[in-house]
Amino acid sequence: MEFKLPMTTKVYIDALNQKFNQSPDLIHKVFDIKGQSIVIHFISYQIKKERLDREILEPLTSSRKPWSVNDLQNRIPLASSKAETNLEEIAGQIIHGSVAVYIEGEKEVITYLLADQEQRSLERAETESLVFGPQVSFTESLITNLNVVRWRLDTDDLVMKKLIVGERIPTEVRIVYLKSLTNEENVETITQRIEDLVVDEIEDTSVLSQLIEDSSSTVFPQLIATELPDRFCHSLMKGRVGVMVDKSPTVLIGPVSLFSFFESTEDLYMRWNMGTFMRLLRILAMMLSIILTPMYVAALTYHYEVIPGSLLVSLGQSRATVPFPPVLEALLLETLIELLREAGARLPTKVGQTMGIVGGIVLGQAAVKAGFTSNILIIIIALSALASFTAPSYLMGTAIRVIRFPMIILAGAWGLIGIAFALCFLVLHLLKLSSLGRPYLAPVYPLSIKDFSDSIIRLPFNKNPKRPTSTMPKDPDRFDENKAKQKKDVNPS
Amino acid sequence: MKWISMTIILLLLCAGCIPKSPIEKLGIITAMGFDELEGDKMKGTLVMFQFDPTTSQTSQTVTSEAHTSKGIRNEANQKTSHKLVSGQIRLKVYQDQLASKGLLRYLDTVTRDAKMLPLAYLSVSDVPTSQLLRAEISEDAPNIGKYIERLIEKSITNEMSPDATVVTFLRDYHDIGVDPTLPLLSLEEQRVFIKGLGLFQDDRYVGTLTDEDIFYLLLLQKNLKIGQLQIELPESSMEKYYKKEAADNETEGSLHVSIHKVDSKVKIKPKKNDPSSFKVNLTMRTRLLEVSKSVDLSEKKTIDALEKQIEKQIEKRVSALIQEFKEKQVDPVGFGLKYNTITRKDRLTNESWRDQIPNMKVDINVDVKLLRHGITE
Repeated sequence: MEFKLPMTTKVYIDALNQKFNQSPDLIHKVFDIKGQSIVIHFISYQIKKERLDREILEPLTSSRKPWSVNDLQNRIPLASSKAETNLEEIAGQIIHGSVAVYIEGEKEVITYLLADQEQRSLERAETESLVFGPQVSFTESLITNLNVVRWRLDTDDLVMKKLIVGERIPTEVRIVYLKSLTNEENVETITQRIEDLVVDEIEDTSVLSQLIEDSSSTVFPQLIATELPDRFCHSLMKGRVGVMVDKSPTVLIGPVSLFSFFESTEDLYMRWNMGTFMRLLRILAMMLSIILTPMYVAALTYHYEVIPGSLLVSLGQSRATVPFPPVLEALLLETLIELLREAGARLPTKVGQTMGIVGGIVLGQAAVKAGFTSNILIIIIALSALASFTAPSYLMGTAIRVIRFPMIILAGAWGLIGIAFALCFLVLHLLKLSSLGRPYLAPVYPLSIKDFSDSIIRLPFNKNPKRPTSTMPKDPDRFDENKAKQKKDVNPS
Repeated sequence: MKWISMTIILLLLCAGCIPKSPIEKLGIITAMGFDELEGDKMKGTLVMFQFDPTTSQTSQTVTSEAHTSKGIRNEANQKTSHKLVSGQIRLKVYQDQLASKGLLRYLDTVTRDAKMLPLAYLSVSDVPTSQLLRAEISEDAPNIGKYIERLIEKSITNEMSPDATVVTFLRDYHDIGVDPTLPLLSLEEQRVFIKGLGLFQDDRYVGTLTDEDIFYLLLLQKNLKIGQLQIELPESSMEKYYKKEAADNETEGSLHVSIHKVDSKVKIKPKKNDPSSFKVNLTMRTRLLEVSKSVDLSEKKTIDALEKQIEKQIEKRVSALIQEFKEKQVDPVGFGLKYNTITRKDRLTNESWRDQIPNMKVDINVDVKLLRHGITE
């Protein structure tokens, strides 16, 4: 049946009911005002009912004159009013929380947006919590998130390009960047990748990130997903591009390098020497986390020569009772730790804490007592597990934990040669990766010593006037280098 | 996909090729001793770690006889259920009779086998090593091998003995104009101690240096930083500077002085075209720690006199030491090496230098400065 206004109220109601599959949620009310039949449609839980009563129904019913479409637009002037003729559009508006008003015999339907969305308010960051610094995190509502970003970066330079992704469930995606700063190439790359997507639905930012990343086969994330507005805005100020997705509390940042995943905004809030220490510590932790267990396996299976003399006795004694070869022992314990982590993450918080105690103390102690593992391995595994959690990005931490397993197996099969092979492979792989077409291992390769000042280490702000060049920002200077050196104190005399 | 399957196939195929040596199945040798037997044979004593779940006793000592060092290991392999490996050997001890025939043939395996640590310590023993390496240890060392290793290491780091690693031994052996030295171990009441220093002619052990003389050799060999020294001065040397109130019995007998933190610099100047004449300049800056008599140290004169006496005494001891080297025809200081550094033609060869050692004339000049002596009153 073709939907063509004007029509009688009965036909109109039937048409909408059909469109909504006879949904019980679609509520229609017919008013008879001065012989004129007016229908309003809405979904009860999508709108603010008080506003409907006060702002629409009251003026509508109290009028002494008959209504026309123009009267509606003029006498109930809400900012969100819209005139629609298409059934699709009307249905779409109602779904999003509008009230549709139809006056019998008119050619248009007026919709008023009175949406009432259930949403949580701004809260403290959970997964990327900071000890020191801004605590707020993004929420699921895109409008709120945009509001937060606008509030932090209150400049007209900020561009928030709107795209719609998703064939069946259209989702709003925003590409956010600073126009005078960000290289257009980065913006175009990311825009084009998102525009080219043909998908049913974008469930979350992380899904979008996986869809648009340069390489989908690697374990390493190539775009940072963060829930911290300060981190997001700081990245924009470095000339990076941000992507925000509706209904998702995380946002994407790109292009990034491997070392960006070990940066935390907390490094900025602390003094530079502490910040540098933290960053180096995290990178060291990553290396330890990858290397430690495979080294144990290699040394104990093949290379007894490299064990320090003073460790030999305690290592040998604790190994003597273990019935498995070192590879199996290490894999077993690594799996145990992963199980503990997974169980801890899935269980409700209260039970999760018990889990930690059970895993850490009871299992560890019992395993050693039973001659199941050597206690030195327990220390090593615990250390490398702990080290992998220091990465500020949860995705990167997981990646580091995962690449340990093939390394342990290689160490068990080939010893130190296996580890060397694995490391070579890893480095080659990282060299090959890119993030939005920019090198993933910057600033180490391509080498740019100047970029070290705010990636692997952090120099004091006045010594660090340049933005990192790996993102090719339009404006490479944060401030004038020479002016920073002058400190003009007010002279009392 | 091709890559992944290739890797997995390689992993499976090649993994079998590498011999596994899990630590709990090994007998890890940490020290070896060699004794002389009749004929060409030698007796070897192996000190090793082996780890059994049932016992906390980790250290084992095994003795076996063979013609070569590796033969000893193979022979000993029959006597234990663990596979004996030599990658952790940190100490090798040779009986003096064996060492006097030349050590090089025993060191051959060390230079050839990549698993042998070139920084392992070598030493000589004047008791059979099968006894030495079965000595008791009362200290907190995991086994006798570790104990001796720490003993030698400590005396080297504290500048009480010259370096004794395989590398230095071989370097001194191959260099022309210098002879190696090794610490001499001995037993006293079932306790291992460093008795002195073994002197070598090339790789042959020819004599010993007493414990006290080692320091004077070190003074000539290199610049020291933290050495310490006890010197005995003759009775009459400081007579004038005793405190007036000192009783007579306090001033009798010889005077003992202890100095420490000896910061010494040695300069050996050879003479061009004359390999038998050397000038040695020794400057020492040090701290006075102890004087056995009540000497009046508050006077500048006393200090000066004391310095003079110490200089004299050191000079005397050093020339006596060089005399001893001349008699034994050894040159652990490396005078010949010094001479070869300044000349291009008529360089010394190993033989010519050996013949010339007894003709050597060394002019010694010592300069001692006592920087601090502490407050006495």
